[in-house]
Amino acid sequence: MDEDVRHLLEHRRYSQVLERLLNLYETKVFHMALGILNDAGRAEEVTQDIFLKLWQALPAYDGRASPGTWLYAIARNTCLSASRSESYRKTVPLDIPTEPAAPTTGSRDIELAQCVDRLPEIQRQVITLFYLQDKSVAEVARMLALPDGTVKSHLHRARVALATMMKG
Amino acid sequence: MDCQETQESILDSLVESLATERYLSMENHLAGCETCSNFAKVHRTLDSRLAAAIPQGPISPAFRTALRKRIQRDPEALWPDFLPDVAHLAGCALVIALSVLLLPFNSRSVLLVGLVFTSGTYFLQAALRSGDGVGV
Repeated sequence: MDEDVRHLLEHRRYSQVLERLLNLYETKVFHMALGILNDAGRAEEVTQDIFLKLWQALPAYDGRASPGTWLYAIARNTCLSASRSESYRKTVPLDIPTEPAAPTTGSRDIELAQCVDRLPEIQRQVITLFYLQDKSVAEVARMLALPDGTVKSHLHRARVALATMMKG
Repeated sequence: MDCQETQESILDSLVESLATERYLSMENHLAGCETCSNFAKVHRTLDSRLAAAIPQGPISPAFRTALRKRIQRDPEALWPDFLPDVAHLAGCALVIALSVLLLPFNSRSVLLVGLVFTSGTYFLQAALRSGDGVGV
């Protein structure tokens, strides 16, 4: 799939590239923003920012990284900037969707959501992204530019910390 | 397999499938160890609760419309992909019209030559743009 996108990029078919990348990565990038920002409405706004930045940067694509990896780098930087500039995660519970995002399938589990919110930032991001990305360590590692082993290690620590918090 | 290895295997099993031998060793240990059995129960329940609690909804249907509106406000959007084709055809049409009006030749001949030239150059530039590594 990334090869198709590369081919279109070589021929400067930018509208088609954007459409293809939206089809491939729109939900993944939205989930990444949701995992980092912990606010569905804000995550959707930031996802728009990410694809707008991508659109503006398409002519400068140099082909060194795959288009997916390149998009994740833009997404990661944009999400982290948004996360640093605003403090959303302390006020929005994990499983409560906000407009304009679509209703979610998650059920309310306030106790668990509060415990997840108390995890160190990287553990919270990793464990949230893991469940948002169909339990794929490889995808979370690619999104956060971390080795697979590091993602697993954060997951294990987060689980142990959550179990301890919920017992206490 | 001792308790530490078993608990590590339990956590790994929540991330990926374990190799058969490791899985059997873990289950064998769990059958006789209440501490690890409780550990497994707690973490399997936690795994189910996390899967249920973390929202997995799709992005809203209005997302792409809103994005396109923002992109249309971007100067880049003023240069659509089909612009070269439109510019080529419009340019050829203008030259043919001027040639018919100004050149001292039969207008049908001028029109015919113009259409052949337009078709030829259109397919040539299309081939150059779509060919691998050529004409970009």
